[in-house]
Amino acid sequence: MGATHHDLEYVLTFLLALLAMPMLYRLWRGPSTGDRVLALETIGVFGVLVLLALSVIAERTIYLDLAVLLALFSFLGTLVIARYLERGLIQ
Amino acid sequence: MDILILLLYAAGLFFNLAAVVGMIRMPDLYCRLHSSSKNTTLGSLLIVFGLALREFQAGEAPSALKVLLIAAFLLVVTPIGSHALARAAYRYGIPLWEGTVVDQYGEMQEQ
Repeated sequence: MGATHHDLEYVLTFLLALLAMPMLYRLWRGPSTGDRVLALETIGVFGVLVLLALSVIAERTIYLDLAVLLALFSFLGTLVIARYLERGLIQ
Repeated sequence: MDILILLLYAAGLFFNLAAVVGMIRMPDLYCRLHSSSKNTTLGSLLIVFGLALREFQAGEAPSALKVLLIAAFLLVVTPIGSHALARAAYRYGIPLWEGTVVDQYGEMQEQ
């Protein structure tokens, strides 16, 4: 776990976390439920990328499984909320 | 190799930044979907390719394969989610932006 040859990944992680902040604004402010779901989906993709970068930094393979799970459940959540929205069961 | 990885990260971050700017600036949900889904897909694919190259460089080929598997998963999943969300939002009746010039889905529903 050396800090010398993973500088690029540290910068990448920081910038990705920084990019997720405006999505929090959209999540808070978004006029409709669709905007909020879209913001959550984008945050999920950024989270997957951050987990992958962390697995490279820490040299741990378990973070890859966590990234797979996060991507899977983010996708499933989007599909379920879209289905409820389509039937008009939620506002 | 390091230069290539740096270029992949930089291009991916650029596309993700474009997605975020579009999410904040675009006028309605459909424009936001347009900017978010495409840019996020390409940007995350570039970053994941860079990370897979890094794993491969470190001599961990199985991890690199797993990272590439995640890349394939993201490539399939993000457009499907955006498509389902756009369809659900249109059926639910979230209004289009007043500057919209063409609405082919609505015209097709009327026929």
